Amino acid sequence: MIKKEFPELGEFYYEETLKNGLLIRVIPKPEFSRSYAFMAVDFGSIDTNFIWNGRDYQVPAGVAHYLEHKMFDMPDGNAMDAFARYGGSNNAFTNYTMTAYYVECTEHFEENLRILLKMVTTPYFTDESVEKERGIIAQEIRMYEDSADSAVFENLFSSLYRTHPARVPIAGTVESISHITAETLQDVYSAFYRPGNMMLTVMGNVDPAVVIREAACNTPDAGAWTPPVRNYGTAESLTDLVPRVEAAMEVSMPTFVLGFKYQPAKRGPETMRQEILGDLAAEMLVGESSALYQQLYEQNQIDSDFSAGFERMKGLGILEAVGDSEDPEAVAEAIFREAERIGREGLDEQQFLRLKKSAVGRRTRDIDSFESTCYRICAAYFDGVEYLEYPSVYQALRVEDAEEFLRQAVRREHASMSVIRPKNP
Amino acid sequence: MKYRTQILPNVYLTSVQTDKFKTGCFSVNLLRPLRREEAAANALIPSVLLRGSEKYPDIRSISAHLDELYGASMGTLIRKKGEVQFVGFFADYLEDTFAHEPIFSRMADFVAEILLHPVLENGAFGKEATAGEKWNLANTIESRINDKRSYAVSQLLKNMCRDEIYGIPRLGDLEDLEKIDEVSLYQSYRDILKNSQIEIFYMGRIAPEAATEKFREVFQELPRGTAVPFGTKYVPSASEVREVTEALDVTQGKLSLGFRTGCTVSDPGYPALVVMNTIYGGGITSKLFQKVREEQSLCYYASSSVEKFKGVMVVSSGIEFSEFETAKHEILRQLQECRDGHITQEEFDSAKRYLLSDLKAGLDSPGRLDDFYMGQIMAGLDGSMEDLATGIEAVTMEETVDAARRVSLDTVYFLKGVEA
Repeated sequence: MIKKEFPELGEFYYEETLKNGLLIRVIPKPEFSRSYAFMAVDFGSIDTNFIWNGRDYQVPAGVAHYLEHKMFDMPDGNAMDAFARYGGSNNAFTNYTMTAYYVECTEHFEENLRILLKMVTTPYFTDESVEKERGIIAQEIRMYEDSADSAVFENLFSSLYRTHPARVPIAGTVESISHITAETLQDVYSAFYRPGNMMLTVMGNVDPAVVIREAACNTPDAGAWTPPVRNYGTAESLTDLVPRVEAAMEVSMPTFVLGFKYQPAKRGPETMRQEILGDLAAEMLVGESSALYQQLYEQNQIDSDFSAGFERMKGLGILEAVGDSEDPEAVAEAIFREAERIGREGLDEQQFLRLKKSAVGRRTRDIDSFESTCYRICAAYFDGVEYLEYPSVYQALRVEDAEEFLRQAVRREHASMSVIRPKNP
Repeated sequence: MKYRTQILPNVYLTSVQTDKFKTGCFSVNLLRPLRREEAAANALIPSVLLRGSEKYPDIRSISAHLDELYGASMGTLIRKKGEVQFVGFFADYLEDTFAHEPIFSRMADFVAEILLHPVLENGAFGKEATAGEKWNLANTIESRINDKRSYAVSQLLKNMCRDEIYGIPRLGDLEDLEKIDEVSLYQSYRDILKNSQIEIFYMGRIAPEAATEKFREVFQELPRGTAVPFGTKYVPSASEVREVTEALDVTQGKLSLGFRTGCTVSDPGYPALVVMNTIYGGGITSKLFQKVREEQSLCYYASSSVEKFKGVMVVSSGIEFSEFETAKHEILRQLQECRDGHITQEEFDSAKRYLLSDLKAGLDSPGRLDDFYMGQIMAGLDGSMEDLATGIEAVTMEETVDAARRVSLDTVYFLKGVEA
């Protein structure tokens, strides 16, 4: 067990890698009542095409999410009942690149952790239970289909990318999940749910030695496993896109995302630098303290829900401006023009320094959230980065970096606009 | 642990000192009786105040100042608890010790500046700022429809309490918003600033005495008149069941059921109601989740929750359109199971465990503590979360069944699709 300190943040964690390859990090917070254990698998909705043990797999979209639902089934009942017996409040989620299972409790931490570990490492899929879940997941997919906030992003992804698997919604479609069987789940489970492809992060009122002991006793041997080779399609040209996508739904005002396709950083420290720089650049362009935001807000072209930032995953990078507006096109045009002005005149350095200060402060405050911190630590680790080193990433950034980023990113030929319009006049 | 004191006439501070967090926070709340004629104006005032003050005249200078304070946040906070509207602001900021410079005291100065020194034009709020925020609020009110799940619940409550004050939405109604202008709004502002009980909740590293001192200093100029009284009218039971159906172009149906609980937070039977609600529909071990969702796959979600001040319980579910009758029947049947005492020891124990754990976890959440104490103060109660936990521990199976028997169905709301 090693201790790693981050004196600037007043934080530290204990780290251990088990013989089977499972990486564990524990951040003790003895002054809290609750404890939180987060078990992340480096496997998300975009991992549908991979080569493993010499075989080429093409699995239906939505399989990671389907698997997440079925992991709660145990030979001796549902894991949720087991958590409930020990007062654990548990849940799980699947996103594009990660599946995660977590439990929060104020008593019986060891028992709850044990259930979590057993659950994630015990595959138990029967034809009958897989069949029964289909209706529940189909309902969930329909619910997302009624949500303009999901649809506007899903439409953007599929118009910016020709082949990348993020084109398809995380949960898949009612059609794609109809092809998922117990065998499909077993296949992806065997390929990805291995200790060496997972990470356990714990925060709260816990003893790190106990966490490591429990993890060692309740996770399987590594066995003979080689990581699957994932395929996200060939690298895409930044200009190969559909510039505009529109749909009509039951919403009160048009909602939009203006997205700029951007070359994503490869695995390693550059990923975090790119995300941080991308967010800062977006804030400089049209964030709350920018001149353009004030102008658009005062003209009622946007409201306080408007935001801008950068999103990255394996094989995908997008600078985004998201909001509701009666006239999304006018907002987009104003953003293009502002980027052109910045291209000519450059950015205000004082504003940049202030924004760095603000962003570091907000990230540091965010450490209070166990949920967010455990997630960020795992997500960064899967990208090959130490999350808690973010202050030094901010320190190294200069205003010129943001200018260059905007120059590369904000181009009309890299942009796509996704709009959801109200259905009824 | 909690400290409460009067800092100025009818201005109180509730303070919880802790060094657990990197974030310090406080909220400033004007307590108003929910009234049709002022609800929309009250909801609008904080947004207009955030458009500019004497020192920070526009949104850009406000944002820049918050950036300078290490990304502090200040936002509007409009809450409805029972038939009381809480109107004000919250502030979250990095604790001084991590910023290596004073943040709390500058945040207190800043919030007071925004509250007390708005930018004025001809002795009223700015015309454009008012019109702009009216437009935003109108959009927020209209956008309730975007989230079908919460829309179905708010439509249910609107129908169920159509003749009660409680039927007034948290942000008021559009038609009342329309009537407001910068002059009338400024008058409303002067009036509520002067004639409201004000509650401040603080949680962070500063000692209560120092926090008291600071808030007293920054709010020294607050005009103080007579605080208007507030309260909630309680309807113990439903008379006849109403069914309301609405059609929208959606792919999933939403079924919401509203009940009168025959009990509020002020009654000794309240902890039993909380336990009953949890067994019935309060979490993943509940009957609604286990039987209706898991065993019968009748819906994607089904849960129940209690509005403890008004004495109302709401079941919210998402279903296939064709399952309306079956789902409604099954949801009601599960309640009948509770009334008939068909509750297993396991269900009873897990519900209690879940609640106790949840309350204990609440002590780690500034937002939940703020909300809990504001509710207690409004209801004239002084019990802590720990006291509620003690009450829940003592609840018996019999009391739980009794709590279910006091519940009566009032209104059924169904959001269905438009037939093609």
